Amino acid sequence: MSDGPKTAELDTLLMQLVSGDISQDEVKRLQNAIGQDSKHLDYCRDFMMVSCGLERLLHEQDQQASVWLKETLKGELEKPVAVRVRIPWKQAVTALAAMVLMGLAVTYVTVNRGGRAKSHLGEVINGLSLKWADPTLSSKKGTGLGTEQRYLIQGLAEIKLASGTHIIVQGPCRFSLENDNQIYLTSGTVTAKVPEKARGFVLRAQQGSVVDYGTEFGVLVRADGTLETHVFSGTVQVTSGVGSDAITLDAGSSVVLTKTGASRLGQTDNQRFARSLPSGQTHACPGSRLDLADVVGGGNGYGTGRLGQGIDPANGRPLAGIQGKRRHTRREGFVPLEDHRYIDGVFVPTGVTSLGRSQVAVSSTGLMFDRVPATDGSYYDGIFNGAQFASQGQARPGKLNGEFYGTPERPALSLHPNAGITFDLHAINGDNPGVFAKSFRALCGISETAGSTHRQTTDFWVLVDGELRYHHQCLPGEFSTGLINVRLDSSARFLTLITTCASDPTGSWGFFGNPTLEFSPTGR
Amino acid sequence: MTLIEATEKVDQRYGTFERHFLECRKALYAFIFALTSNAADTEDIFQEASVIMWRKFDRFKPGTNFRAWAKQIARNLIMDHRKRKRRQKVTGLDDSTVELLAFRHEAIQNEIEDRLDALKRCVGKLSFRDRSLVDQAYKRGEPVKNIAKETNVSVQRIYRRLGTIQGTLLRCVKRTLSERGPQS
Repeated sequence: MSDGPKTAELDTLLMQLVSGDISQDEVKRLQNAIGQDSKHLDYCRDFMMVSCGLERLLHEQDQQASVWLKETLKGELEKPVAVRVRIPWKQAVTALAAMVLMGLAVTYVTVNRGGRAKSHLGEVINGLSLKWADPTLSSKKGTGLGTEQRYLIQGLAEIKLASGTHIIVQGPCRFSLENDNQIYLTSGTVTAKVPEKARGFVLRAQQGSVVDYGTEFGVLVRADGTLETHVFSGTVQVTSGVGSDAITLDAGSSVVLTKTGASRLGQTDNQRFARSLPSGQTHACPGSRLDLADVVGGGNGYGTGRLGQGIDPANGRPLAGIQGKRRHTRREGFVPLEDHRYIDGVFVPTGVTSLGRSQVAVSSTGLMFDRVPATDGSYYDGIFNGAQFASQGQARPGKLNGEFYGTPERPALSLHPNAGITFDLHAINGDNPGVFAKSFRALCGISETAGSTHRQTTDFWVLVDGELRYHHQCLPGEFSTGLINVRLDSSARFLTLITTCASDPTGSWGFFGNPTLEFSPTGR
Repeated sequence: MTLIEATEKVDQRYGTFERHFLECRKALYAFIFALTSNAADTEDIFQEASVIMWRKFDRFKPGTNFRAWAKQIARNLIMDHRKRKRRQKVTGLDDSTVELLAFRHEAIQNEIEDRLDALKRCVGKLSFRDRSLVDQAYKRGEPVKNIAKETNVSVQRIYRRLGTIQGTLLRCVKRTLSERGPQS
């Protein structure tokens, strides 16, 4: 059958027929078009097949066949079972009495005995600190998921869809499975790994949809509906809800779709998404506790960063490991970091004011802080995810209150004086829809492993939006631990950590243990 | 036979019926749809057929073709339904065209699963706008007149668009099946 106006007219008439909105004349036209030609008949049959498929396909999730069948036959199945009991007449009276006693004069048998497994579209096959809004939903593996809207308050859930697609849902996340190879993401972060057999997996969201072509990708839907897609391997097609053309994204690329339909292309942020679940215990818990040390390691705060990775506070360059080198900078000023989404920037507090203090810029917006002492502008190595300090060529771990730090269970953010780092709370809150950072909690102090090398007074500073919120001082040879609990409100934008030494900072092995942003629901 | 034995027998019978039903349900539904061209009628007849199939399941001979048996039951219901529609003067295809469609349907009955599978993937390739329109018309079951009113577009234009989308899906399904090659 050739394409063209005839096909177009046939399509329209068939559509009207299927919708029950067709006149007698139009039916005649349709029948004439179909005629007795087998090709046209087959076209009509196939068209009906598509209509039928769309009906069933789109209703499939609501009508799990076996459940539907049981419901449909409920009346039939509850009819009394015809039991022909052959009882010798001498026993009849006894048997009858027994039946009356047992209340079995009429016995109803229902087929649904509750033993049959309910069919699900997906199953949680692995989980980390799972907490669902639905209290009846188990936090254990093997939990089946249907089409209901789900809210994962915290944790990481690895779900295998019936099609074979694996998704990792990061709390807080609101989503629903639409069918065995399609999900709707209301808000939150999801990573999808689609095997060849499940090619065609669809992730729908308010601002658009992502269709996979055999790939692995991550998607984030923020509270304002912004849809961000990052492709790790293969190709996906992203379509905006406002009707612009579909965008084909290959591995290594990303796109952000906003409410207005504007799209911004970029590179894939590999560390933003959990592509597998951590093998051991972690201090961080998505939706509940975010580890700022992991952020320094290039991660999302939930364990995707690299231990031992750092940032040079003088220029913002990445550092691959602790070398125990003292460095100096003459550069004064704040270094904004474009590559770290959650870090506004870094700096080395230096320079002297007329009051003998250093005035430093602590944010990309120009917030200033002038209470840190004047320093010589030197620092050791940089700011790290981990706590490893070097003395005479030997690396020593960070230790506070008798406990070692620098592991996923007990993270550490090394901030050997003189250095400062500012985190962007708006960016962090934006990527965790439904919650906001309500407090910053950590320990701080000089590592007890520094021993006698700790010979200078060291100060620890915590600022929120440029305002001092916490200060702890360690005198020479003193290993007191500061307990930080700084409350944050939802409008707070910048969290700054600084360490300073008024003189040579050698041996001031300062770090923050368990540097945590704790989340609270936004109420939305 | 004891009461427990009777109960177990019902359970067993239901289990066998359910297995047959699940195997042929999509083909049966598609068959009914092809002959009624209407979703609501298909739902009604499919449901009625399911109940009758269960009631008559004792008469089904194990080892014979359950799908053919089920289709015969559905076919009788469709014909009754058509008579009622005619009395109500509801417009539809004539009997000879429906008979021909039923005949042509035989040719694809073994492909139903594959076609639905391919359709699922093809729907995923639709643009967001087309997908939304399909959702409105099928998932939410909104009458085309309402969609037209909402979007301030003529009814005929919506039909044309939906027809074009379905034509596109049809071609995509065929292409997908031909790319996959003959199934074993």
